[in-house]
Amino acid sequence: MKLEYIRLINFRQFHKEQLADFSTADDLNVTVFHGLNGAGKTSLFIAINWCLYEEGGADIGMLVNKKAWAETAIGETVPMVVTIGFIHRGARYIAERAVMLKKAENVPLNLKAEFTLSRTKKTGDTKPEPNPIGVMNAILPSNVRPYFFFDGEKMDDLTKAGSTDVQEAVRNIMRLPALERAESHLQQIADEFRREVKKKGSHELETLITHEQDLREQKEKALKRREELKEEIRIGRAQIEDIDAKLRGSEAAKELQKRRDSIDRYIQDNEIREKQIVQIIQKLTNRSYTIFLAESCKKAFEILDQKRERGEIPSGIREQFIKDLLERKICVCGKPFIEHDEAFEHLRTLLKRSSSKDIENEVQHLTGNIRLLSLNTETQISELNQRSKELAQLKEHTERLYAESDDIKRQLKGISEDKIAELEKMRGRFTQKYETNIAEFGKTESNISSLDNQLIDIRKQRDIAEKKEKEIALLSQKESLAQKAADAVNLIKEEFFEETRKEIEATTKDVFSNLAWKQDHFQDVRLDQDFRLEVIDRWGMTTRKELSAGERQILSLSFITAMSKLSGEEAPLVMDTPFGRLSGNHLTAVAQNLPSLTPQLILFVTDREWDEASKTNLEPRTGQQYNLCFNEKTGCTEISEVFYE
Amino acid sequence: MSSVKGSDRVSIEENVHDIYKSLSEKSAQNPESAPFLLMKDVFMWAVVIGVKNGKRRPLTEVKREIFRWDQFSQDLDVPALRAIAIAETGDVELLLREDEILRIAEEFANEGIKQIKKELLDQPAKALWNLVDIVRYQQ
Amino acid sequence: MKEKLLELIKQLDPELQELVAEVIEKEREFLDYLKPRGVVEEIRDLIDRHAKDDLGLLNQGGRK
Repeated sequence: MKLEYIRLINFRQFHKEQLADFSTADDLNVTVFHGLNGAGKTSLFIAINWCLYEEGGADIGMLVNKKAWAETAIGETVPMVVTIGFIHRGARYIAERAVMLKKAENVPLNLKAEFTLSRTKKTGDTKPEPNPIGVMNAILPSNVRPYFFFDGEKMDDLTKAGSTDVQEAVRNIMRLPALERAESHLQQIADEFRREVKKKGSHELETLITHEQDLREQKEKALKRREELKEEIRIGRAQIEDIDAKLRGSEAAKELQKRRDSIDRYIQDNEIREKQIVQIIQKLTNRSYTIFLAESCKKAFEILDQKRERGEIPSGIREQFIKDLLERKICVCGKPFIEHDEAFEHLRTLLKRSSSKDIENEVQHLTGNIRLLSLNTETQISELNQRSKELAQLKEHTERLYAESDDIKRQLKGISEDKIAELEKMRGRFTQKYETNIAEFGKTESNISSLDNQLIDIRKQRDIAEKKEKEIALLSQKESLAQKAADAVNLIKEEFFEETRKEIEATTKDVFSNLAWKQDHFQDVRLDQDFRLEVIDRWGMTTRKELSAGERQILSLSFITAMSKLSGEEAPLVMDTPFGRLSGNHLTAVAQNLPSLTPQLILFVTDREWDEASKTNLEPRTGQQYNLCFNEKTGCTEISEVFYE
Repeated sequence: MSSVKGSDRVSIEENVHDIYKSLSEKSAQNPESAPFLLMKDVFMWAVVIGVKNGKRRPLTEVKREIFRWDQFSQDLDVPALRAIAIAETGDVELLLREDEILRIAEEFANEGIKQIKKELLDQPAKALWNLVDIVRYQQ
Repeated sequence: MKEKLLELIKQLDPELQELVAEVIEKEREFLDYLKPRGVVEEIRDLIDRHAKDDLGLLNQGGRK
């Protein structure tokens, strides 16, 4: 950043508009403003800070030029503006802070304060930045600014014994807080993640997988058993068939077996028929609910009827018909009526109340259907009774058939020829086994079906658990990353602090050795671990407490310039009365060397400071010189350029 | 519900969903234990039992949608629900507001389903026969 | 001094370098541009992105 010019309007001592250019040449990089005390040097310095950062203008009302203020009538406004043009990295900027003050009863009212930052592009057109404060901070951060725009009065404080200003300065310019925060935030985040991992971790997935395996084994077993049963059932049936055939073949048992065969067929048919009837009954009962609606239907019917009677639903009377009547103002019976007649009103009310065609239709529909509902009830119930009876009879029949079958069994067991009795006994056993198997088969089937459902369930649970595992893996990774990063920053931080300290120490020493009067007996400049600046004398003792004001100022100056060098920021050194306590050789040394330490140097000095050695030493490097002339009569200062002969 | 596009669903309380399920699941294979062919049949029965008891309860708990309006039969279910709604409120205009008719039905069902469970599932015999008994008893 | 910092970062574990550099840069931004809040949130996002990358969860697939 290099300042190019400044323009003030009604700012402090500067009445109306005052301009000044800053020198931007490389060799003539010094711009000087000199004047008597109170002439306005500090005001100019404040103007720069106020314009760019709104600093130093605590009470705006006091900033406005008194003359302009006095010349303003009550109720009128007076502007106060500071404009600064500067270049930064090849781009040209115009920063302006403007305030409109309204004079209300002699008290200034701040109407509007605005900060704009415009950038001139290579094409030549100027565009205002949408985020002026942000861009300004990107050019030169606000917290670093005090080390570039430096108030000479404060220089002393910097290196006074017990001051922590040096430490503050180093921390700010080197952005050490950024590292500290990085470490602390990373640690905070790592701790958070660690807690979350602990909370979420579980052995859920393991348990689910074990459970699933277990279910699969059960299913395997069940499938196997089902196959076995199928086979046994098949065999059982064959065995029974076999015996039946033998019985059919035997003269003694033939008749009984034939009878039994036909009984079995009947029983089979009956069972099929039973199933059918049950399904029919099922359907019937579903539809039989209307049996409970007798009362509701009756009531609904009455309501619908009532409404129709009261003429609220024009039954059969068309809406259009009524409209026609109303228009022609003739009653149905042919008699004319006038408006507001009772009949007219009644018709109009009917028309309003009568809902649209939709209701008419729905009502008709519903009335019809309600009638059908009761009909439905009757038919369903009667058929239900019928079918129930049928079912009962069928069951009874089947009972009898079973009884008959038992009887045949007994008879066959009694026949001794052809080993009929034994055959029948065997048949009995086979049948029992067969029926047991059938029952078990049914159970196994339903068991398999249930296991299948459970497996589907478990799969769903597993998917959820697996997702959770992935989440935990991610959390774990994040925790590890955050922690490693925090540890890394901790390492870097220590090293960086140390390197920083060393470099600042070295650079400060370097500058100090340039600025200090050679006769001074200093040996070394140290910046210790706590960032305290010390000058070591030739006897190895720290001398800070014994440094003269002038020497301390030089130390401060050295430090400031060292900082501005190392900060990596490109900005001019703007100093307000930097030579206040310097004199003689000290002043000479500083004046000679200061311009080389910065790309652009802007100084606000008293006449005395300028007159002394500084003039001879600084003038060769000065590109612009201004004198601040205070006019006793007006109470205002004029900036007037000083030209060389 | 002639004007309904069939896009809306009937709701029940979440905590009775299991009752509806067990009474209608696999109704073709197990007619005796799951007597109702569809969930809407369970619903209709729950509605009329609620009507019979003269009580209805607004749905408050977590709700669950179980089937669409278009499942109702035009010849039986729809007129029944309309008659019930008109008898309950006396408001014929309801015929144009199907959603209100349904809300009334849902509230009756919400009450009736409790008794359905008691009568059909909590009894020793199988559900279908308990249901037949209920019909018989009403005659 | 920025170079010094970068030098130190280069001495770290390669998998951490980018993350640490980004975090420090974010903190500097927030410091300089006077943004009061939200930096922790942004750092969490950075960690999230790097962790997912490490686990190969980003669509680009695998390490760079």
